[in-house]
Amino acid sequence: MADFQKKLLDIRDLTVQFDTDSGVVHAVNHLNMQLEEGKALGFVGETGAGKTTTALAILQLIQSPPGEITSGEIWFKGQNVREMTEAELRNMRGREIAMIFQDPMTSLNPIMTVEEQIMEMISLHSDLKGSEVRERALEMMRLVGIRPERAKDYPHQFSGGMRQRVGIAIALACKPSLLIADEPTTALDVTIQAQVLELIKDLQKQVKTSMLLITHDLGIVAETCDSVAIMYAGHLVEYADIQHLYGNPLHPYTQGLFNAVPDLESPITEKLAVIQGLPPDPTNLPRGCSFSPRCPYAQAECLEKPCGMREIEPGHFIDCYFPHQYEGGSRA
Amino acid sequence: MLLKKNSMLRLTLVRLRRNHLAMIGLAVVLTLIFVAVFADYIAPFKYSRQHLRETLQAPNAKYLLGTDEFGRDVLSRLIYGARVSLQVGLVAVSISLFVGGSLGAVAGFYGGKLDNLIMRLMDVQLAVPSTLLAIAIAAALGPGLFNLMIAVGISSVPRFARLLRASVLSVKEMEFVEAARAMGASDFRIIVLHILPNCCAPLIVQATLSVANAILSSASLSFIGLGIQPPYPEWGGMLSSARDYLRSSPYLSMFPGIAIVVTIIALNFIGDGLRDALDPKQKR
Amino acid sequence: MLKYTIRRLILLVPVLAGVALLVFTLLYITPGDPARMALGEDAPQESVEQFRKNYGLDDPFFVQFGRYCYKALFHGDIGNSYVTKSSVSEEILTRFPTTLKLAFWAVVLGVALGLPFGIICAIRQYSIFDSVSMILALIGVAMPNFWLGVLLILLFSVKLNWLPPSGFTTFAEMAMPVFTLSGGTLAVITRMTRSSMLEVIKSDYVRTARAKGQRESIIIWRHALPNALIPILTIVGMQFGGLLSGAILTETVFSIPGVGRLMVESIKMRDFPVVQGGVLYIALVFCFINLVVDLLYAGVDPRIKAKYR
Repeated sequence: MADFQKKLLDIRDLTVQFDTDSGVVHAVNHLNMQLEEGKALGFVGETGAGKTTTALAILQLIQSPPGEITSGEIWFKGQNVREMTEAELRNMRGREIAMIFQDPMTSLNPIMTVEEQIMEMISLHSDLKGSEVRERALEMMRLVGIRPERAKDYPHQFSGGMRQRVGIAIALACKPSLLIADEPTTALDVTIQAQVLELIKDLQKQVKTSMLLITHDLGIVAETCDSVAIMYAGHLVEYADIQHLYGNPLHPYTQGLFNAVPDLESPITEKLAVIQGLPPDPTNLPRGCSFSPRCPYAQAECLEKPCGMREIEPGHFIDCYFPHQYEGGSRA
Repeated sequence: MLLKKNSMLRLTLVRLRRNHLAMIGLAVVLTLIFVAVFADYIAPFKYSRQHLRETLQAPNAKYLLGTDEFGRDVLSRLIYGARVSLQVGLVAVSISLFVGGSLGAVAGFYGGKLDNLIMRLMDVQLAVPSTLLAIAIAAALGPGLFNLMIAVGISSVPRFARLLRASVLSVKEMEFVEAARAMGASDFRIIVLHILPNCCAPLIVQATLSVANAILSSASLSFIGLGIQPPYPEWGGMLSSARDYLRSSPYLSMFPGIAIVVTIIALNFIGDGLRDALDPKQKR
Repeated sequence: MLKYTIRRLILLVPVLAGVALLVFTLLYITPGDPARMALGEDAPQESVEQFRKNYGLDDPFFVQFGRYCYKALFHGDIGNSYVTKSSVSEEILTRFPTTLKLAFWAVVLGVALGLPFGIICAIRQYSIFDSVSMILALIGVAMPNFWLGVLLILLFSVKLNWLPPSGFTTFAEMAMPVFTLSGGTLAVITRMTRSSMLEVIKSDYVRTARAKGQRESIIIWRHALPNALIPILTIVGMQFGGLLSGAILTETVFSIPGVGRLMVESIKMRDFPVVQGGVLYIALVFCFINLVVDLLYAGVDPRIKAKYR
């Protein structure tokens, strides 16, 4: 019992399914993941791997038809989120756990000023009243680098990067214990991405919140996170702290991801490395290891039964029977 | 391009078939068309045949839906009325489609001042509510089936003009149009052979829904005395004469109305079904 | 905002001119000699010719149109009724308030019932309320309003004897006509509100509001509804045109002394100046209402407002 009270977030055996016209989509499959207080965890995977679904599940924001959490527990600060009452959930959302969404254009209400949207967060979770709420909102805007004169502007009047800053201001307004950032820079121009990422990193340290950073970009994770979890087909395949994972990636999928990152020093004539095959059909997952159809080292056992997470070296977990030493060299 | 049309057509039909409401609508409309075409063989009596000793009879064995004030069989008149309604619907929509579509296509394709002019004209027409315009045109042209078709047809022109214009504008920018131009194709050829086939989808949906609208308009116009003249049966006209006998023969006011509602609902089902089936954003 | 208003008003002028041209052209092409129609079938030929000279009926098209516009604009004179010989404008204007009243209450009823019904359907999607409402809306859209009127009279006047089948002064007299006219609009507004709300409820910014920990009721009221209502506003404006034409039919069914019934009787009596005069006035009102709706829309949606700041 005491063990997982140290952890801020402890997800155990989470399974989320979606009932669609083409069948039941297994978005998240028996996911196990933990996050410690004060740390930043990078949550990496391809589009459709189930990362956003996991994030929404933590906040209990999965749309109930068609989605459903069919098993598992989500422990946050010693409480099982799945057993919380509606009032407790509302209290948790925004105050304890806050989320930055992927698309800043559609995540902001088009007919409310940015000031009002930040103020809403503040009024919901603090005892501040009247002008104090506005002052705090302006303070947040300053913190994320938005000029106070723009407080009464509407979202469509801002550029993508600025809108995302508004999203960050909203998320951090009440100093949450956990910040979930769902691909916060994916929808932005490359030049802006770095700025926004810097901002998130700085604020995370300032406000001292733990962070779950969802992304498909290994580079971003390396810069901002303490540990990383690789997700494939709805569950984790490898988990370690940055040094170990980047220094010694062991799961064939992880290795494939690293291979796919183009190397400035490799000759131009070399073809880009790709991972053979396609991600599995979420309505029809393989019987054994979900990566086995594409794995260059797959053996009979792999196709029969999934392995489950094993601790290969201290703090380095991997879901694989036969981890191979990585030949690409350390990416640390 | 023919191959592409084939597979798009097939995909659309497959999707449409899955839509139960649309299938019901289709069944109803096909039945209606059948009835209208073969009215001469299906109707028990001729629509103008009067049985003056059997007027205002409630539905019975001989006259399944009763008789009207002139002793005419209501069922037969309904059947021939279907023919009239469908005729008006199809011809009127064809007029709107052709005139409106051409205007819209030209406006979208050539742009500039021509576009502006045509769109301003459409705005003027849209400043008058469409049923009202149909009434005004029908009043000016005089009674008759043909004038009714023209009146209803013209009143729907702006809708098609706007639709075609929007479609043409979006397709115009695509590369295969540039390719055709590079081959030296004339404007007319480009519009007809390349651009128009790609505008078909929303057009078909709008056409279906417009037929429903046209039938409603024609019923409304006939109700107030424009359009079809007696003894030709039109559902709206039948409802108008039925009003005088509301107390004694309420059934006269029921059947034509039911016919109208059923037809319109069926057409709406098909139109909505087509819209869903042709929607490129649908995942299946 | 003011700039936008002025711009729209200026744009209105050519449109109105176009409508006047349309109406005038229709009058012009109507078969029959206006002089003979005015004087009667048996009038002697010289009086007919004299009439034609007096009113310039042999002048070229555009001269006559110019005259028509001038008289209309500065004297409100758009001709005289062939039947009553009195001014068309007068005939129409005395009856207009009744028609406007009918249309107004129909809109009010449509919105007052349609909005809440649509919202409830969206919040309780797939419930019995939703299914029943959608079926009723489906029928409402397909039903010609004059038939609805006749059915209501059949039920409430003939069978139950609760409501009078004609007239428009007391509440009892107004109940059925207003409901009849609003039928189609009510159906459309319910459906549109429902789909607009559904779209908005599934939107990302509503999800953001939930992630903030906001209460569901406040989310519906303050986030979803205002966004959902914006497109509904346009729909309501567009419906007004249908209501004004629909009033023609409703007034006929319920014998209401409005512009619509006047037009229908004029059609029967081939009194074309009155018919087209009615068209002109109704189009004018419709344009005006569209303008008001556009302005409201711009006032309400900050994205439009910003374009014209």
